[in-house]
Amino acid sequence: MRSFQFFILSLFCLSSVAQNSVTISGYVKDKTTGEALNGVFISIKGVKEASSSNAYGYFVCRVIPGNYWIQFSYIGYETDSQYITVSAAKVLNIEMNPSSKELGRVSVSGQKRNKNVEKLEMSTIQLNAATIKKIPAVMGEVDLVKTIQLLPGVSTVGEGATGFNVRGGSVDQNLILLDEAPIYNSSHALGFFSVFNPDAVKDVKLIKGGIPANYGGRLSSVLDIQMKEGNKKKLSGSGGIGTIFSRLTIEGPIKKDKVSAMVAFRRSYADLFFPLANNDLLKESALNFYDLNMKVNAMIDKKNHLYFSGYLGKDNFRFAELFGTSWGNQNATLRWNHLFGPRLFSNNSFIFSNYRYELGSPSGPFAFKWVSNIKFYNVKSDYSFFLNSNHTLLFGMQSIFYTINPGGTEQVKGNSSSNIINVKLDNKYSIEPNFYINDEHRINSKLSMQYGLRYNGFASIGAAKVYIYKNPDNRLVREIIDSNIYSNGELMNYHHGLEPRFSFKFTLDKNSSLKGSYNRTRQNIHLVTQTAAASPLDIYLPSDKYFLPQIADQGTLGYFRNFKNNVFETSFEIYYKKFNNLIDFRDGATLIGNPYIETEMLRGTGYSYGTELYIRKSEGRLTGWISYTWSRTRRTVAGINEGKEYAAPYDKTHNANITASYEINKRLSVSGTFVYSTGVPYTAPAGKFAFQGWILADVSGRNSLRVPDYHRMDIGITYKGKKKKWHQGEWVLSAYNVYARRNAYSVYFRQNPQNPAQTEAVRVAVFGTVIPSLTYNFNF
Amino acid sequence: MRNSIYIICLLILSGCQDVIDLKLPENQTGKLAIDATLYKDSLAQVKITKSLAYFDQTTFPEVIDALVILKDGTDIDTLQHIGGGNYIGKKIRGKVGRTYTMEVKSGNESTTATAILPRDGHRIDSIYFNEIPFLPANFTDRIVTNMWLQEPLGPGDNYLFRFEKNDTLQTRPENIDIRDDQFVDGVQLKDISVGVLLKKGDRVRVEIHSITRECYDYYFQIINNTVRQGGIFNPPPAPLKTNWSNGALGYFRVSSVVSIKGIVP
Repeated sequence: MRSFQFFILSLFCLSSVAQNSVTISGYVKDKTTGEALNGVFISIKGVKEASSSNAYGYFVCRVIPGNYWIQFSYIGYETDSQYITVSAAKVLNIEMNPSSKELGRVSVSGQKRNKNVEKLEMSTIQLNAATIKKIPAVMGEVDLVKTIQLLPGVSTVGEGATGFNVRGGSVDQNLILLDEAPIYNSSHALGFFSVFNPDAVKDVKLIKGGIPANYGGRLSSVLDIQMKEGNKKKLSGSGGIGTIFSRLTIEGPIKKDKVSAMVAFRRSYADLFFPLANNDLLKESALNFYDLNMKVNAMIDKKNHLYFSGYLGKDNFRFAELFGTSWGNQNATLRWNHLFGPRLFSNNSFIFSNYRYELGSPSGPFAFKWVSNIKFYNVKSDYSFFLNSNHTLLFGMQSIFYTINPGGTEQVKGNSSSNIINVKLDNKYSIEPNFYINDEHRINSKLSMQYGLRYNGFASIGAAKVYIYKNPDNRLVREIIDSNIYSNGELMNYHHGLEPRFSFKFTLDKNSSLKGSYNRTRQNIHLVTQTAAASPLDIYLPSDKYFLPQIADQGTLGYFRNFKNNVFETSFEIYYKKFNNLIDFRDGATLIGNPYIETEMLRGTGYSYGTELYIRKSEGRLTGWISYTWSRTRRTVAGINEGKEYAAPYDKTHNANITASYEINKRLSVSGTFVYSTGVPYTAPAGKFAFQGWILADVSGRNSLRVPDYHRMDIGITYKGKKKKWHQGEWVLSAYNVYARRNAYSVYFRQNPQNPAQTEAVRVAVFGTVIPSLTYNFNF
Repeated sequence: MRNSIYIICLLILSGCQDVIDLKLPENQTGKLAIDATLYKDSLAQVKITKSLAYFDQTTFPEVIDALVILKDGTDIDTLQHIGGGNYIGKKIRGKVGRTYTMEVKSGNESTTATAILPRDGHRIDSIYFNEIPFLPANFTDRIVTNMWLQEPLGPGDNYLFRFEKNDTLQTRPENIDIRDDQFVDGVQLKDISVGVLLKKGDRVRVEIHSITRECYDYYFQIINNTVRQGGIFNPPPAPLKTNWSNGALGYFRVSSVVSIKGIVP
C-alpha cells in the first residue's frame, strides 16, 4: 500500500518536469440531457495526437500555448468546432447537440471522423442505444445481446440460448458489466431476452481483443454497459407497450445541472391473464420477469462527482403447487469521481452483486426448497493520469470478495411430511486482489503503443473441508484418503499470475492504419455446466485446490481503413487464441449438490483462430453494417471424445450478418437483418444396440457432424407519430424469421414413439415460423 | 431435485420437431452387445446380440455360439445357451458383497466385466393407489402407484426401479427410474410415486434393484442419451461407460431385488 502511494507521488514528480505545454481539459455532455458522453473523439488542428473522452465524459489534451481549432466529434451528434486561445491550463466543458433530424444533412461537411483508424483500440465496437433500437428484434423487443450477436467474432449456440460467444470463448468467459457490476446471467425467459432494458442503456462497448489492463476476470471479452444517467435539464421519459414487455423510464433533474436521477422498469405480462383461465392449475401459476434500473448522479463540485446505480431483475416461474423456480441478478454500484488536477482523474467504486436462484416444490412427498447464489463485493480505485502528450497512464487496484453458496435442500415451512432431508453444501469464500498499470504511449505521429500489466491473485479461504484423493489428477470418490479441515478465514490455497497486455497502432496514411495486440487473461470464476446452452440453474465455482485458473492468450492483427471521407468504416482482423486449464465435466456428471464436484471435473485446452471483416456506415439515410467471420474453435479434454480434439458447441466456420436501416422520410423508416452461418456441430451415433428392451445409440466421438446451415431474415417498419405538445409516439411493426425457415437447433436420435423397433433422426427448431409483432413506443 | 430440472427442460421447446433423413458414417457396427444380470440368490442371465448401423431397421443379429463364463473367486460357472442368444447360469447364485467376473468369447472377440453385488437393506413397506386430480378429462388411465419404502441408513445407496403393468415390463426410455439416497439417506420414504398411469383392475409389480454407482451412472447416461435430447438445456449424447472391456456394449448388472405386487381396486 505504501509503495502504491509512493508510486503516485513519483508520477507527480515526473509530471512536474518543466514543460512549456499546457492542458485543455473538461467534460463533454449532451446538450439536451446533460449526460456525459463516452468516447467522444477530440482532435486539434495542427496537433497530431488525438484524444477521447472517458466513460464519465472527461478528456485531457496537451498543447503549446497558442490559438487552435479544437473539434469534438461523436456518432449521432453534430460535430462541434471551436476556436480557442490557450495561454495557461484551460478548462473547456462542451455540450454537444444530437444530430438534426433533417435527412441527409452531414453536420459539418469535409470534417474528419476517422476515430476507427486513428484510435489505438482494436477488436472493439461501441454501440449506442439509438443504434440498437434500429435493429428489428424478436417479438418486437429490441435487445442488446441479440445485437451483439450480429457483430464479427460473436456467435451463439442457437436461438433462445443464453449469452453469446466471443472468438471461441464460452458464455461465462465474457465479463458483462452493467455500470461496473458483473452480471452472471444476462438472460430472461431462459435466453430469449437479455436483462438490459434498452431504454435504460446509454451505450455499450464490446472488447474482443487488445483488452486494456484495467479490465480483468474473464478470458474472452468485456461487454461494458453504461446506464443512462438521467436528464439534468428537464423531466423526460420514455416507454412502450409490446407483445412481451411493457416499459417505462422516467428521468429528470433533482437540482438542475447538478443532480439527476433515472428509474426504468419493465415487466412481462403474459401471466397477468392467467387468473382469467378456466384451468385451475394455470390460475395458480406464474410466468414473468422484470427489470428495475435506477441511477442517481450528483455533481458535488467541479472536482467531485458521485454516481449510484442499481439493478434488480428476476424471473419467476411457478407451475401451481407442483414446482417453482426463480432467478435474478441484484447489483449496486457506488462511484466517486475525483479530479486531483486536470491531469489526474480518479474513480473509486464500491460494487455489490448477487446472482441468486431458487427452486422448489412447495408441497407433496418431495417438497423442498433449494437456494444457490454468488455474492460479489468489489472495492476498487482507478486512476488515469495524463503524463504528457505522449503518455497516458491508467493504473489502479481492486479487491473482490466472493461468497458462493453452491446450494442445498431445505425443508419447506409448514410441510413436515416431506421425504427430503436438509443437505447443505459448504459456502465457498474467496478473495481476488488485482493491480494494474497501463501506459498508452505515442511514440511518433505514426506509431502508438499501449503496454499494460495486470497482477491477479486468488485466495480460497475457510471454513471448508477439502478432500484429499489418492491420485490428485484422477480424483475418485472411492479413493478419498483424507480430508483437511480449515477454520474460518484460514487461507487454503492461493493462485496468482501476471497478465501482460500489449497493443500498437501504425498509421499507414490519412485513411488507414495497421493495429496489433497481444493479451493474456485469467479467470477464477467458472460456470459449472454441461449443456450447450447455459441454464439459469447452473452454478459458478471459484478456483481452488482442484479448479485451476483458466488462462487465455490472444494475438490479433488488424487493418483499418475508412472510405468516402469516413462515411464507411472498415476493419479486417485476424486472431489466434489459446486456452489453458479449460474446465469441463465428465459425461453424465452430477453437477448439482455434489460435495465431490472435483471428481466430475475435467481439464482441457483449446484454441480458436479466425478472420473478421466489418464494414459500418453510421451516417446518412442508410445506416448499418456488414460483418463476416471465418473461424475455427477446437477443444481437447482428457475424458471427452477419447481425449481427441473436437469442435466447440458454438463453432461456426462461416458467420455473416447484414443489418441495415433506411429512413424513407421524417416519419417512416425500414430496417432489416440477414444472418447466415454454418450449422453448429452435433454428436451422432456410430451404431445402435439392444439393451434391456431398449434400442440404444452407440455414441462415440463428440460434435463430428453439423446441423444444416442457419439463415434468417428479419424486417421492421417504424412509423413516428406527429410531435404532440407533451409527447411523441411511434409504432414499430416487425417480423422475425420472415421466410419462416425451420433452422435446426440440434439433431437428435430416438426410437420412433409409435413403433419402438424403428430408429430415426429428429431435427429440433426453436422458431419454425415467422413471428410478427407490434410495439408502441413513446417519449416525453 | 434432478426431476425438477427435467420439468423445466420439458416445458420449453417441446414443439417444432420433425423427422429428417440423414446419412451417417457406418464403420463401427457388429460390436458385441451383452445384456447380463446376476441377482441375489439367482442364476446369471445373459443376452448377446451384435450392434447395427443406426438406420439399419433389421433385427439385431443374435450371438448363439459364445462361451460365457462366470467366476465368483472360488467357483466357475459356464453358462448354457438356451436359444435366441440367451444364456443362463447353472450354479453360481448372487451373494451380497461378492465380486463377480464374467467373460464372453465369440469368434476372435473376447470381453470381461467385473461387478460387485451392493448391500441390500432397502425394503418396500406398502403399496397403494390414488387418482391424479388434475389430469385432462380424456385420460382413461388416471391412477398412479404409490409406495412407502425404507431407505437403509448410510449414504451411497443407488437404486433402479422397474415397473410391470399387467405382466409387461415397461421399457420405454422415459420409464427408466433410477434414484439415489443423497437427499433421503436413512429416511422412511412416504408416498413415493412410481411407474406409469393405470386404470381400475390393472395388475402391477414393482421391483427395486440395488445397484452400484457405476451402474447408476450407466443408466443416467442412457437417460441423457434418450429422454434428455432435443432441448436447449440438454447435454450432448456421450458414450455409455460400460463395465465390459474391449469395446463391447451393454452392462453386467449385479443387484439384490425386492418387489411388491398390487391390483388397482
